[in-house]
Amino acid sequence: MTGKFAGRVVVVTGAAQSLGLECARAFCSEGASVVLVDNNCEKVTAAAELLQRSGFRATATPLDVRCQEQTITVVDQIFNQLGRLDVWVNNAGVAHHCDTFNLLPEPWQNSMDVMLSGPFYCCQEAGKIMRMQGGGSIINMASVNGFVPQPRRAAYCTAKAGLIMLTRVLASEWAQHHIRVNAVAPSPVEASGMAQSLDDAGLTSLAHYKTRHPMQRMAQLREVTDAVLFLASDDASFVTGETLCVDGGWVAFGSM
Amino acid sequence: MEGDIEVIAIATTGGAVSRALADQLRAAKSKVIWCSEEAAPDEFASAYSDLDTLFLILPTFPQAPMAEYKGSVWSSALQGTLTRAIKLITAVGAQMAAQKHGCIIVIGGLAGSTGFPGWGIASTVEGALIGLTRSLACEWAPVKVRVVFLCCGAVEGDSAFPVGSAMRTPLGRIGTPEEIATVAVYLASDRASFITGTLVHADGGWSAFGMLK
Repeated sequence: MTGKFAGRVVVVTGAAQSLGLECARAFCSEGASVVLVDNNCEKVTAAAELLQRSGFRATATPLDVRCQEQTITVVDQIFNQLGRLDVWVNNAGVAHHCDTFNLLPEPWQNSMDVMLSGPFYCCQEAGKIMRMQGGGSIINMASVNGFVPQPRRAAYCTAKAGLIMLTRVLASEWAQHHIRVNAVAPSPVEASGMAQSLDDAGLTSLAHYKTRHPMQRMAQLREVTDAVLFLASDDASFVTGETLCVDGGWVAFGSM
Repeated sequence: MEGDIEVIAIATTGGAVSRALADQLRAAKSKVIWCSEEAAPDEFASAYSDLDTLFLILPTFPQAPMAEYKGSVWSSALQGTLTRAIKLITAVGAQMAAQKHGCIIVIGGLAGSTGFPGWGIASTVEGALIGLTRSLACEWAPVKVRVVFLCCGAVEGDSAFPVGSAMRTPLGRIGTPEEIATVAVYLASDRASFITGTLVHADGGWSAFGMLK
């Protein structure tokens, strides 16, 4: 098997669909053995089978990243089965929209658990293995909302901003163990069903999202996965603690 | 673009990063054009109207306490380096905008985004170009021209960073010119087609790091 990640073991969380699945596919096509992790057991198994049918080395592992005990067990299990761990991608996320006067503690806490505590548990366990192994690379899926706010997304924006800082702390702390920690901050990615879900949430339309970008369009999945693969690869060997905006100019844009 | 060959200009006053960049670009079968300090920006842009990418590598700036900079040093940095960089970016960018395709990567240090005592001139010039990067990225995004600023940490062969930079860098070493070049090449490639108007750091974690060890 050839490719930039030949012989490497990559784990992607939230990998049952959309961006996580495309990350998994992209790593597979560069020769990696990929473990797809998701709390939806059925869907992630089907996703891994889909990749296997393309001749890729992919396996599925159910994991709820909100649970530290489960995370400890699963990381251990992955390492025992595959013998190494080179790249960990914290991609799992939840999008919750609610005006903040009415935001209940439960969805707030869930956002923090999935997008902040989950990555912390995963980084801690994956980091221990990478330290023992002599190095590794961690990628956190942040968002432009970690830099610029969006009304009605208090929990999401706060969790993503926290994840960006976690990225920087771990990069400074673990560089001595040759573990690089970076994040990707995409603007909203055009995915199937998005127009409908925006509509259902009573949110701004897809057309508005497009015109909010100086590039006048939304990101394609490939553009985000390319950034993840770049940061995870040896091409980025001097890049750590960085949050790479893949946003068509979203964060830079200050105009109407 | 000449057929399938990418045409890429490197504007530089020399240095190891520009050489590493040219090596990587040539290995990828791109045509590399050097834009020397003497070349007039408008004439250069007209002569190479089919550029795919411009890499503009900023020089190392003199260091001194702010009150001690001589007027000639300021004018050389502002009327010389900065003005020339703005003219070159504008002239080349306008050509790229006309062909609705192109990418400008400005390569500088960390002074534009972080504070260093004695680096007033570097901060001023790089800060100005960071602002320009954001504005032009927004202005030219509809015509498919990307603009990105690459902030480099301490790199081998760069005299600006003090002795001890390796210790201040979380990765425990300074970077190689090749490592800067691989990031620059990625940012200019189609793999980075949605990246514009942003700063990217290749600094071994320098700017993520908040304290001494």
